[in-house]
Amino acid sequence: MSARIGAATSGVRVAGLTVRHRRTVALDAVELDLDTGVHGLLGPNGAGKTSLIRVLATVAPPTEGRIELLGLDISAHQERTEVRRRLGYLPQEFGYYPGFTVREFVSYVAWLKEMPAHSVPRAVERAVERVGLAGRLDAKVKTLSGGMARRVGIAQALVNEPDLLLLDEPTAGLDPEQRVEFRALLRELGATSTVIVSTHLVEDVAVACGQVTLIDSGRVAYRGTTASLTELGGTADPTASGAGSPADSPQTSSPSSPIERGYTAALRAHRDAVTRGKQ
Amino acid sequence: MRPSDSPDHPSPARHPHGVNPLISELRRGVGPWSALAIALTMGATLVVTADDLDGWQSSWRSVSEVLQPLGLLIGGPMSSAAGCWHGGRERRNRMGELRASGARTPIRQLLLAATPSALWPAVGYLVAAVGALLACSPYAGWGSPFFSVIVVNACALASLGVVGYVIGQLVTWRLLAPVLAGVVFLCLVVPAYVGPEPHWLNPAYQYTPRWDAPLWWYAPASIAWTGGLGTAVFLAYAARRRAIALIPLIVACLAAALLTGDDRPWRLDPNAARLICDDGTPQVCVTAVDQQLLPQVSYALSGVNARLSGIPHAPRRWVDDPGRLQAEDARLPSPEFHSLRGRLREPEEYANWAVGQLFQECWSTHGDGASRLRAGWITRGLVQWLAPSVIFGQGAPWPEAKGYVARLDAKTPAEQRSYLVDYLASTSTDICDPAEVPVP
Repeated sequence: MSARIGAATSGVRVAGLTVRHRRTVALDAVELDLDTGVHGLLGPNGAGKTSLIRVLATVAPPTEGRIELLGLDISAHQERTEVRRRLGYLPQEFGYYPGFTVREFVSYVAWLKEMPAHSVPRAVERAVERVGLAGRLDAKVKTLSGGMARRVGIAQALVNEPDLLLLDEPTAGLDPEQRVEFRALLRELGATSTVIVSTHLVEDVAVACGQVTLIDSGRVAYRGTTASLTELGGTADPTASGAGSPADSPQTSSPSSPIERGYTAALRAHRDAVTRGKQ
Repeated sequence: MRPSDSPDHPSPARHPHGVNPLISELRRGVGPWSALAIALTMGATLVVTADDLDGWQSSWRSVSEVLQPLGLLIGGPMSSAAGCWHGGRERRNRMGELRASGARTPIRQLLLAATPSALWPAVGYLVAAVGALLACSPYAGWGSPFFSVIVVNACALASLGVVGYVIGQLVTWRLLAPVLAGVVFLCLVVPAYVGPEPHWLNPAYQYTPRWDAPLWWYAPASIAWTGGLGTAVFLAYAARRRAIALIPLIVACLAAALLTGDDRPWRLDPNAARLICDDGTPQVCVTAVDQQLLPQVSYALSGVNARLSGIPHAPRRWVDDPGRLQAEDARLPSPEFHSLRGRLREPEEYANWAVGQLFQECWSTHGDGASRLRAGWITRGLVQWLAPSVIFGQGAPWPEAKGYVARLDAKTPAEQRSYLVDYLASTSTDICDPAEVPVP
């Protein structure tokens, strides 16, 4: 048995996680410790959110560092397999077999996750019901709208009632009403599982996430509760134009809500600290 | 999340046991279409060629002879192209991330994903093969189909599908599938018709099993050869320990050594080659594979036999097996090659062909001297008189031969018989001496 990073047997424990893509450092010695609940992962484009999610989903290997998911060290083959059985993952670029029906596709993913065959039919129907596609169970995925296909992606991630759920931009393509319902679903899932949601949409984090982690240039820029990030926004200068560029600010170039201001303030504080550290 | 607006609410009873991923894989994608394409293309080709001179419905052997190259030359490129296209679907559909996060081992995932590429082309071929066998069954007569050869062909197609799948996984190029189909076609067709025969390692090789039958180890060895190669390619790509691919590769090499060894995998089947004769004079003997045609052959030769009966040096038997001709036997053209769906196509032409073979030594009009030319025209006239052909003299007028036919027709039966005695006496040595050939 490999040594544990911490004593916990659930959630995510990451120590010194570094990911390099050739000469680019995507993640730089990231430390994370996430337990049951819904965790928002925020950051500008190219900050390293997707790299982190992919490593946690066990689809990309870390360059350095230790990762323990659900109490298991994923560097070991058997333990990685066990984690994958208990993992739900919605990639940023969700792919599917267009000729499959929703039922067939989600059943296929259940097979990939080595779910017991007898439990699959009910699990598939439940997962599809939870994303509001019960009426489309036997429709081919290629006949669904973009938002519906995204919901199929969420359903496949939920089918094994995962202990660790990784969602990369899950609300992309969902209409406002679906997003509201999805946030409620996230809160429900976070009661028993560790849910990590990578998103550009700060409102999603504000409403659905209890904890938030802000990543910038491959480093953890901020960690705290959603409430504390919102508070940070409340004390920040509402006229601040963000951390340098419009792309740094979620959704708009002019932060308006407290959490958006908090996001911007946290990012700016981190960058100031980094700049001071270099000097 | 709210239910989507749709009238077709789920009916849990429809799928009480869920959907098996293998069934989903088999039902969706290019697999069923590849089977349909192979079956239809093969079927269309069989229909178009059904009336050809060597119609494949004549015997179980002729249908086997056609199914092998047809299945591989049509099905092989299609199978590999379909497999290649199917293999590239993870990339096209961006499913790599999701599959990589699955708990199933890559080899199990790939095994499931590659199954349609192996199975459907084989199914398409088998459907066409069964159709061909059913179409042949009313006319085939003696014997039974070579089922083992059909299985060998299906296995070769399955292997090509798997190899195509692996190539599709490895290579990113949209035109790869059609290009691969072309390459596979060339790889099958060129070695099948180039170089010394037989090419037992080429699954598209057209072997004509006139009276041969495969030995018991032919099918297992061929399956080990093509299946071993396909499995080795698959394992080299999909297995965690790639060295395991050496096992099927070694099996394939051993099978190849067996197939190309001194022992031919097809041997003469004495049952198929045994002679079945009528009780006429001369006797007409065909091999067992053509025994259903014997009455028609006897009838076609009845006119000739009536004229040859009792004449010295006339053949004692007509025999369809040049390897077993005795001193007084005449070679009979293979009835199978002159028949269509259980019927002799043109009995008169068949008889003309048979008599032409009987007198072939003096048939030629090429050579030195007027006597050689004269003997050739006399022989052609005699053949036409014995077994008239409707195409006699077509293309070339042959006035000399026509003149000899007219002279023979003008003779009395006794004179005709006397002339036949003289002619057969002159050619009894099997060496044509033009000077000895009598003029009618």
